[in-house]
Amino acid sequence: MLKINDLNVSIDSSSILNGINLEISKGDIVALLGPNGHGKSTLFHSIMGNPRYVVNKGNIIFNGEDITKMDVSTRSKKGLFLAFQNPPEISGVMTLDFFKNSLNSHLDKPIKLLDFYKKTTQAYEDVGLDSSFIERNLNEGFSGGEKKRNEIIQLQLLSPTLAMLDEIDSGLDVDALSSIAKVINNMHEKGTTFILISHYDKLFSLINPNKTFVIINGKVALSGDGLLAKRISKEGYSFIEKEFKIKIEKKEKQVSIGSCGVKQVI
Amino acid sequence: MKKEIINIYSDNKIKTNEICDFCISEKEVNSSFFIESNKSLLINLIDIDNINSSINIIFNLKNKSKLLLNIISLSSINNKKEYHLSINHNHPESYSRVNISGINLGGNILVDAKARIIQGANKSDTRIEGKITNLSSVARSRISPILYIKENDVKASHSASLGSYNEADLFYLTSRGLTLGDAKKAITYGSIYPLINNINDTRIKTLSLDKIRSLSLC
Repeated sequence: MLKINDLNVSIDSSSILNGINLEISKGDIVALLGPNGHGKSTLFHSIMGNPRYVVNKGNIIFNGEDITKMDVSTRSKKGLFLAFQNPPEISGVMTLDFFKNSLNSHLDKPIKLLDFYKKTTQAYEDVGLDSSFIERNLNEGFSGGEKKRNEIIQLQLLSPTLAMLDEIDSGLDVDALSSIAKVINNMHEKGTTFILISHYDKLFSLINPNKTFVIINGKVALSGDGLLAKRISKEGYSFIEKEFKIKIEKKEKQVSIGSCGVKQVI
Repeated sequence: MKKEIINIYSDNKIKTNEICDFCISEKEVNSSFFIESNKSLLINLIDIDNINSSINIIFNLKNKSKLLLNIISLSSINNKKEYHLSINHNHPESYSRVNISGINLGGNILVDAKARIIQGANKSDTRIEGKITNLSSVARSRISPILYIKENDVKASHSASLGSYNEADLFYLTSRGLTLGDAKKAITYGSIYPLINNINDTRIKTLSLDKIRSLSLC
């Protein structure tokens, strides 16, 4: 379903991915792991086609088609979905309008109002979010957990063939995590393939991955079955350095201290 | 009692609560508004015609008076639209909100908005907000919100947002299947629709909506 060959990606001239190779089959649940800053989210954004991420070498094949140069919305229509780690707040864009437009962009004919109502009501119920959120601006003023649930609602509405979920469990309480895991498992049963980034073993105890890829220093340094994800969740990454002699480079994030406004007082 | 007609092109005394919509059709506006105690004025200024305009308005607020000023500005290529606004809180507990939303297709939108709270005008409250989206590399916009405060017990704030589209927002919207053009439309309309919704005159409202919808944002 997804094949990535020697993918090299940079952001603002800084190289992040240095030759990613991996293959994912239909029906897989993949755990994508790795220390912070080593390229997991970059890989998701590159697969989804974020123009900020420049592919310098390699290609991405999705369902037999090279999508490396395809625009973002076309990739979505082909069946790719990315649940964002930090979904942006977009003021003035009402969630309801956005959901309807997104859904219609995947359909030959616009969805009937009653069907849209039923679909969204069910999706809100499944993630335990009040359906009145649909009348609010997109993600505006939402808590971290509410934003994550809003991502899962979109996942349900768009029913992609391959869903990439970037730390979908962060900011969720135990009950919300169980609800979301149920949605993911249901969708998997219906045929959706998943790639999950998570730093917590709770998610992998609710959703059983059958494959694990570990990204270190911008490369797939290690791969295995679902047990590898569970081992990393328990032991961390230090055993990889010892057992596999892979040196994990320290990545330090640059922190902006921001800027201040201009104020004139007399 | 005969109701006085409010005209954006002349000086006005606001003696009753007023809601007014004005479509700017002349190049120059020089006027002032005196809002009497306990009275409120909501003005929607719609400046979307393909003309150069220079808007100079002074608002004077008395005790517990209230001003809500919304400006919708659309600058076509080579247009120059200037707004010089003075909001004077001359008495206690006066309240003002100024909201400017603009789309700049390739001209100039320049906003100077000054709010003054004089000594003695305690518990006054003012806020100036501006958001202009530049849709071409030649578009030039400026918002200068300035607060002159001479009283301690007041609320005063401002915010200004200028520039093109946020790339992260566009990526998010397109990742759900919207085309780039549709994503830009959603963001642009999103910034301006709330102000259009405030317009009471249905004819002006329809005109504004049609004009904004007809923009090509690809």
